[in-house]
Amino acid sequence: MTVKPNKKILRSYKWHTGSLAWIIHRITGILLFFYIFLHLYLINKLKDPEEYRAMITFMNDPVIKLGEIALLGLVLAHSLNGIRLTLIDTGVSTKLHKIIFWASACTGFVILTIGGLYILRGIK
Amino acid sequence: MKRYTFRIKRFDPEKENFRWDEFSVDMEPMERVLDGLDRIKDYADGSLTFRRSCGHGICGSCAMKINGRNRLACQSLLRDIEGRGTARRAPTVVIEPLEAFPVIKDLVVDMEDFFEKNDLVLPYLINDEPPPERERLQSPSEQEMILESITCIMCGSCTSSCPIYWTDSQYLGPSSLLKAYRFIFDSRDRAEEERLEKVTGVHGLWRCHSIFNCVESCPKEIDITGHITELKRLALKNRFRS
Repeated sequence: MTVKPNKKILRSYKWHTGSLAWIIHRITGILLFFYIFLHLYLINKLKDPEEYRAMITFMNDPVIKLGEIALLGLVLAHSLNGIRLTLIDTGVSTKLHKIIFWASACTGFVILTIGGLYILRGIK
Repeated sequence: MKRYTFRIKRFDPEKENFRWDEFSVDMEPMERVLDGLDRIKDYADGSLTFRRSCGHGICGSCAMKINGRNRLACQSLLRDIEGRGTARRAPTVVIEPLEAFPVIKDLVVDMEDFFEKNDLVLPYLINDEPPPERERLQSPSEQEMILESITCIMCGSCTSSCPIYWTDSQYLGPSSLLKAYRFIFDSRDRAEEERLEKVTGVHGLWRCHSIFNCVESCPKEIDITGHITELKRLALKNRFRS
């Protein structure tokens, strides 16, 4: 007998802090993986001064700045949860995992707000 | 007395289809979900099929998905799990068979695969040393190491709640890994290396992503993820040594 995967399982099974952290880690991880290619592509374009100047004006676009804030959010979510997982795996109590999650979520939001303001102030 | 609606996902093996049935039952909030199922089977629909045995949270037969979470029906009071009822609608108890196991009929699932994986980690004492005159003794602190893991009743709640197990049917699952921990960290056992070998495969220990669904669903409140992390650290140490 084979198991037919239940396609509605993600909706029908109750979400807990742990599974929420896991899905966030997965999604941000995949998005950051694709971002690396975009990053390498843009860096690769900066070979002559003309291109460089064009890029700098392009980077000042408010939409790009919002994208930068989103990127900061992704990096924060992924890295802070990475720290949480490392803490769990290195033997800090697994009983504290929920507290660590919500504490890092708060820290993340504070850094995101401050960082976001700095990024927005950079628009000329 | 209060009126409860039991919404039960049923599977008919002859027609091979799933359907949802609703039953209204008058019950006390202090009664258990299992009592409700018994009442439905006795008075409303005798064809409703589910496993039950001891009814006291020891045999692990009546594990099922109740309101979106794996629990033992005999250990869940209606008071604790009742959904939000409204003036018009009675509180609903949604019951489904355990996820990721093949359904045989209604709430009965085929747990063959679950028990096979349990056998993979050699769940018995391995010790070649000649037995002493009386029992093999353990110090209280050695017993403390495995005390939590030996309370497992193998109901399958943890393995069927694990998102990794949903997608990778070859994954050993939290239950087998806990069993591996129970014998590896037993001071009387001598087959640590052998078991670690079995557990550290592609579909073994390292598939665990610390999602904690198993801990949330365990009716014995065992910190399964904690035990698996402990195993991970031991496996890592042993690899570094050799």
